[in-house]
Amino acid sequence: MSTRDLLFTTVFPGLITGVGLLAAWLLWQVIFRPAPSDARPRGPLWAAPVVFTLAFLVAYYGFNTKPQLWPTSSAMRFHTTAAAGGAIGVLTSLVTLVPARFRWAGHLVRHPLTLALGAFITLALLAPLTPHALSAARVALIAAACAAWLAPATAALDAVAHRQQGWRMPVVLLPVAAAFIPVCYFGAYATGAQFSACLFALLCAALIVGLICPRLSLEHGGVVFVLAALLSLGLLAQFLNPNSRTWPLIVLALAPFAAAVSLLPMLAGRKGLAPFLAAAVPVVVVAGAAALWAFLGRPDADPYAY
Amino acid sequence: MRIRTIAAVPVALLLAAGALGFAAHERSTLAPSVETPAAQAAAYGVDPVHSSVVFRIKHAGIANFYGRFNGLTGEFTFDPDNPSAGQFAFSVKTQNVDTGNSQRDDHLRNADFFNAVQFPTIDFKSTSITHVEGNHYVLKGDLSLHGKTRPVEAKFEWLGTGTFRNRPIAAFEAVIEIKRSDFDMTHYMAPDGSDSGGLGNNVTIKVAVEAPQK
Repeated sequence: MSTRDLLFTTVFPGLITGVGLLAAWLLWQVIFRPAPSDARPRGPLWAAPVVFTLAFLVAYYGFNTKPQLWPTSSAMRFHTTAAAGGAIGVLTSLVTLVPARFRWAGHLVRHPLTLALGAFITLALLAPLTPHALSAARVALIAAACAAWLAPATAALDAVAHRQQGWRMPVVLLPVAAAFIPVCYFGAYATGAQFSACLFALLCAALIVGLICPRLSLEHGGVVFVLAALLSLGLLAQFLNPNSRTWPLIVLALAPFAAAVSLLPMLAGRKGLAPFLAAAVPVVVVAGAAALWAFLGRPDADPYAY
Repeated sequence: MRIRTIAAVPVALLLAAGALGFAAHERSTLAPSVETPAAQAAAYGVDPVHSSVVFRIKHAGIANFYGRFNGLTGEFTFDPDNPSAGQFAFSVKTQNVDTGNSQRDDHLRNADFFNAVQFPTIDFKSTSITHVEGNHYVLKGDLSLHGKTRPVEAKFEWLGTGTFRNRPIAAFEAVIEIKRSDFDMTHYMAPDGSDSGGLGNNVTIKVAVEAPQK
């Protein structure tokens, strides 16, 4: 990896995320001055998906010197799916601003939006494979499955993010992004591994901002973006790479749900680090198992020894 | 000892006769006899077993690396006396990339490079052919690779016609220079589009075709 690659795919995205989140947070504090007693996160929820999308697009430019809005190769539609993830993230975060008495309408909008995002990502990446590699019916089935995965995974992680603010939520998400690196790397999908590393850098930057801003929230928008990015990586790794193996990816798909352990009544009500540990540790275990599986499945430690 | 020597004579003669017969058979059926006179505009189908597609790309900004695609298919019509009427159409499966390393071949097939699932073939279809000198021509056509179709120009050398297994055959070589960035294959390429990156931008494709007449 050259210096330029490192700058564009890790350093710049990390800086954009860190500075962007911090600036948005400070601006929000100056404008809205939340009451200290208000327990509800008052951070700029829309900032996370916007900043993440911007950072991801810089990384995309780092990998591809000729970025296009809608490339013929579905494997290169990262920035389209990232932008869609960011846009849906902003919309879902705006729903939280709906007055409480209309909150039911907000829920009616938010969940179908997430479902639509899952279906859109699948169709953008896999529909071009019809009819020679996948039938239209199979693509539709996969789209439905992805939408069905994204909606409950987002709901579960949003609920966790509501409780785990500041540096805590990036720590919960980090193991999933980290595990994607060996899963893609040992599947000889170098670009997937690099994008996972970029996502890892984004979350590290969010973690640092979270240390400064204890009420930073990735609820709604941020979670939606991260899961959408991981969904697109998983789909590309599974369907466009001959070396991909399904089981590590399936295990990795379960990781977001592992965090929901912290929502159990006996844990959710506790104070201190217990709910955080209950969210983070199961994710580390599940994501670690996926990474280990990917590693053990390869006879060669270096899949690029050529 | 003498009996053994005498008995060995017919065996040796038989072996010699067999060898001579086989050699004669080889000359008549396996070895192509090139004919220099110009062929008529005949239609030919590519022999995938005796045709080659080889590509060259810079590696690490300095070395020349060669790979190939196996199993070229296609057909053409060509008459050296009337080249402008010639038509060429070829196809090769991206799945058939062969660089002598199975891990690298898998990597080349995946989303980082050829994306063989979405784009299973590389196709060429001619648009014109013009004579330059002798048996050299310029073959123009459209190359479809990685979902992009771009006009390309090939240096075309007509090698002539002959026979193989009692069938008329024709042969030619063509060399095409492309930039892979024109086909949106930019991974591991230098940002300035030069050959200085991990993998170069300029790719030379050499196609050597043997084709029996249809």
